[in-house]
Amino acid sequence: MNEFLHVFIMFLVAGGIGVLALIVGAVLGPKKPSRTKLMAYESGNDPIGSARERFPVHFYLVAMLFIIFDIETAFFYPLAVSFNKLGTFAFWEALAFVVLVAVGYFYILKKGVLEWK
Amino acid sequence: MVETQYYIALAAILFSIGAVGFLTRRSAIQMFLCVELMLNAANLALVAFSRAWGDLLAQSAVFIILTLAAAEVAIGLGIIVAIFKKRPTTNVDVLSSLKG
Amino acid sequence: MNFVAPDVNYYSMLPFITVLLTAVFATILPFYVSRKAIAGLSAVGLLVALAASIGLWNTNLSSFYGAYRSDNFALGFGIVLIVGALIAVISSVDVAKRGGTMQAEFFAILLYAVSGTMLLASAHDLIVLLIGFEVMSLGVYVLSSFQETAKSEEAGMKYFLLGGFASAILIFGIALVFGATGKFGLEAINTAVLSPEFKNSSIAAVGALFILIGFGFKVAMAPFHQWTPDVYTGAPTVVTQFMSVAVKAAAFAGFLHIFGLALQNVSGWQTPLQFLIALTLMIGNLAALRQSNLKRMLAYSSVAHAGYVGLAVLASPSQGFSSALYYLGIYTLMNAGAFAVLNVLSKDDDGLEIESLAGLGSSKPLLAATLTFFLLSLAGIPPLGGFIGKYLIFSAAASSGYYGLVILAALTSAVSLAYYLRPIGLMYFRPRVTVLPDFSGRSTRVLLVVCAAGVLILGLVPNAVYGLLELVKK
Repeated sequence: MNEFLHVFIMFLVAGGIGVLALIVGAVLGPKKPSRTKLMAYESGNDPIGSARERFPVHFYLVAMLFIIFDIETAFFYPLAVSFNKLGTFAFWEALAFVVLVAVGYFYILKKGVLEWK
Repeated sequence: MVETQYYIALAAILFSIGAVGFLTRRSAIQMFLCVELMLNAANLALVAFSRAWGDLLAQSAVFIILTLAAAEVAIGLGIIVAIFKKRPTTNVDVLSSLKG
Repeated sequence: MNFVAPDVNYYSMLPFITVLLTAVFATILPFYVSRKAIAGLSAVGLLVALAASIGLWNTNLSSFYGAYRSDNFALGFGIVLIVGALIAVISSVDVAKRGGTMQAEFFAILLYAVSGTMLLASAHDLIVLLIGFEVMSLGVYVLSSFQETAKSEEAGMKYFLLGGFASAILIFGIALVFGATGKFGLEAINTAVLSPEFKNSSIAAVGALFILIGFGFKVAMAPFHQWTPDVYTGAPTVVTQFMSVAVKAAAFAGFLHIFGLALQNVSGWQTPLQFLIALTLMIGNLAALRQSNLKRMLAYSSVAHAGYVGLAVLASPSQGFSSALYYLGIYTLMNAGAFAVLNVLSKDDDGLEIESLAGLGSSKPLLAATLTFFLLSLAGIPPLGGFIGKYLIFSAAASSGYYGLVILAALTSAVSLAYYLRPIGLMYFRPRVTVLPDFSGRSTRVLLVVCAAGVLILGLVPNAVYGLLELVKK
């Protein structure tokens, strides 16, 4: 049981730091709210309208698709670097991967997600 | 060269901040960010262990986990947007029609 | 440095590839053909995968240097998962009948989730296992928020947030296990743990605990079960049906693999798992007692069943694996069958008050009879399959020395009789008060009879099938 101890202590300390950061922030942080301070920060300009203005959902859809395709690209960097050594096998495997991604692309294209109206 | 245990300690701290944040925050987006923090803590631990063992396999595992995280973001944001389009806040306490 | 092409055996992955290709077609084709045709395509794809799984039986093929294995364990679970998915596809036909919407994407996402579950059952490597786990989970998050009702969206949200939390814990656990052993392969981890120079047992133990929490969440073990009743109630009934059988079975496949093959010699998780099982058995069965909604009652009952199967994880792999597989196969038939009856009897996805079942025995004899079958089997009444399944798991756990837990499981199982028998009593011994709709088509009625027959046959002649499963033993 002794060898468990230091690992558990590590997690206790780690968890403690997490809790502590929240508590210290809440207790010690000065709270002198004024109108200017509570104003939304817009790089020095006075904010116009509500900050809670809603973006068109469309915006989120495109952002989400970006995240997905962005990550897919990440797989091609290692492939590109070592492509000469990997030979035809890797080519066909990468092609299978691209086809699967293309199916997703075809789907969103057909759904009309990429059309700005 | 920095010892592995410091990386693991950092990963554990990140993980704990994420876990504590997940349990205390009430905004769906913030809870989700905390989950991402926990995932990245795991990634950091994997990379550190990968170096300690001299085994690149764990780094390729990090790639996979990053992809999983991206897929989770896409699906999570999709669900969050779908739900909170109809509701005034992203506070999860408004979701209380299922009880018992 | 020369590149060596990895060891890929496409035959070993035939069932998995079939399901995946069907899913790809189900993604594209809805733009061109009707929703009904997609349902047919999905069913055909699943049947082909089923045939492929049966064809591969006993061949023991493997791929990717053993990271993906089509051994009898994986194939047996694959068959159970495909049957669970088939039942969901057939039940989804009735949803359209009652005027509910079931978008064409349902089948594509369902099939992707099924491919994830099959990967999870075949994986012998923590990373492959993790990919299967996540593909399954992500698919099911979407499915459970599939209907644009407040309840369904809320269910999806809860499931997604808590599920993401649990996956993060699981992934950190995997990172710690890798850190302790330097290996991802399940057998390699065990070899590393057993080697004399292994000195990271505390890190491995913490990693095992984290993995336990991640899987405990996915199979709905108390105290990580809180999402279960809400999500199972809020999600569309067909999705709940799929989640309660296929997702649970696949999660248990991974659970058994990790703790039976990789971590069985790591200390520190056995005692917490015993607490989880004891708590699950008590909370699941006691909470189910006071439910008035049939859907919610079945949700709690599925929590309780996670406790029974959990006993198989504690038992030695040689008995635990085959008994868990046999139990989950029967559980798939009986639980999915009960949800199929619930699905055709309710006019929306909010489930059904148990009281409203009164008098069903005379007004809809087939539905009442099959539901009675399924509930009796869930309660574990001989000679139905549920009894044999419980018996096998209890004896597996008892032979590993967990007598206390087995006694607790038997006691709570007796308690469960109360809530399983109540609907049956209402159906046959009370006059009808509410007129329930009946949306069952011919395919569903055939399905119900087949499921009931399966439950009976697996109970009457267990040796016929269990004999085959002896080969599952490691």
